[in-house]
Amino acid sequence: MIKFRLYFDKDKETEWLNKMSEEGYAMTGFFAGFYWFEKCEPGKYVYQIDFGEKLFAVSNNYREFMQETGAEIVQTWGYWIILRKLAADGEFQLYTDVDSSIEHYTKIRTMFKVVAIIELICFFMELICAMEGNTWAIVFMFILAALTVVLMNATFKTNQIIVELKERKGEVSSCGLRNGKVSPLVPCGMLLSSCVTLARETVDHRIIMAVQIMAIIFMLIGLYRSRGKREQNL
Amino acid sequence: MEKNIPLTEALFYILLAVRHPNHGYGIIQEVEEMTAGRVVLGAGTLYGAIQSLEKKGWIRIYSEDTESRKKKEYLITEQGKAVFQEERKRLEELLENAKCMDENAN
Repeated sequence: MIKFRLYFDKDKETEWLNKMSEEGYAMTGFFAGFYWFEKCEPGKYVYQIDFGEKLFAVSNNYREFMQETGAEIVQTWGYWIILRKLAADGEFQLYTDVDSSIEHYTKIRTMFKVVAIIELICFFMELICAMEGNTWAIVFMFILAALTVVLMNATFKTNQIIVELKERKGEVSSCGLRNGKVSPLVPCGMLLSSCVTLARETVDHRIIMAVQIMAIIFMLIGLYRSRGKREQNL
Repeated sequence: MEKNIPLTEALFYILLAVRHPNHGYGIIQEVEEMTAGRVVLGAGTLYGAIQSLEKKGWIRIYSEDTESRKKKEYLITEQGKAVFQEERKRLEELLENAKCMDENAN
């Protein structure tokens, strides 16, 4: 069985993989949002997701270490490492104290931040091309804008986890960026705009108009809701 | 050696578990036994700790790739022992001072 999911939150992804395992589907492979599952006895495996040091690979040292503790590396993707362990072999947790959890999430936050900045730079490059009237540039511009917003949200969310961990440690957080989350409607609207630009030549202009208006409404409601959320948090 | 102590609980027990040559899973088991199941080190926590302890020179690889089995074993170094003793002194002081609480209670 193959399922498509886009996760920007490793904890939710882990939860989902473990829920699937409980229902009798063991994840065996991953490629660009597609997850491969095989039938297994319900609850046979427990999944965990780690963040490694290398892209699409792990060191021999890491592999041997994990094998020794009974964990199997199912898939590496980017810096992500998906591991599983037989549930019969006992509990499977990767990070069991606050300090190592902070270190783990800090690495993840740095990655999200760097990727968000790269997307933002690409967005501005496409923006320049778009202003010269290049249709494809407009399409990519909207996609990149949507990706930037999603990654910024992921960065904020990871930051929030780190702040909470530090508070548990008794450190007073000096963090001003508390929970600034942009509503997912904003990137949805951007992606719709991207589709509209792409389909402008081929699809009936009334449909185009309707979708374009919908995209704008999405983005406006999204922006309004993002603002509302932030005020609540103050 | 200013910022070495206090040690985190995980580092404290890992150093203790490699007072004799010990491998990854062995460390997890020994710490679990010592604390009667209270401290169970996660694989990620232990892996990261071993990497950083090795870098600091507090532990070293004792044996690797012996023909019979392929488990990597670690052993505490003199530097690691020194840090551990320093931490022990700090903890003894804590316990000594904790007695003040009893005096006040009486």
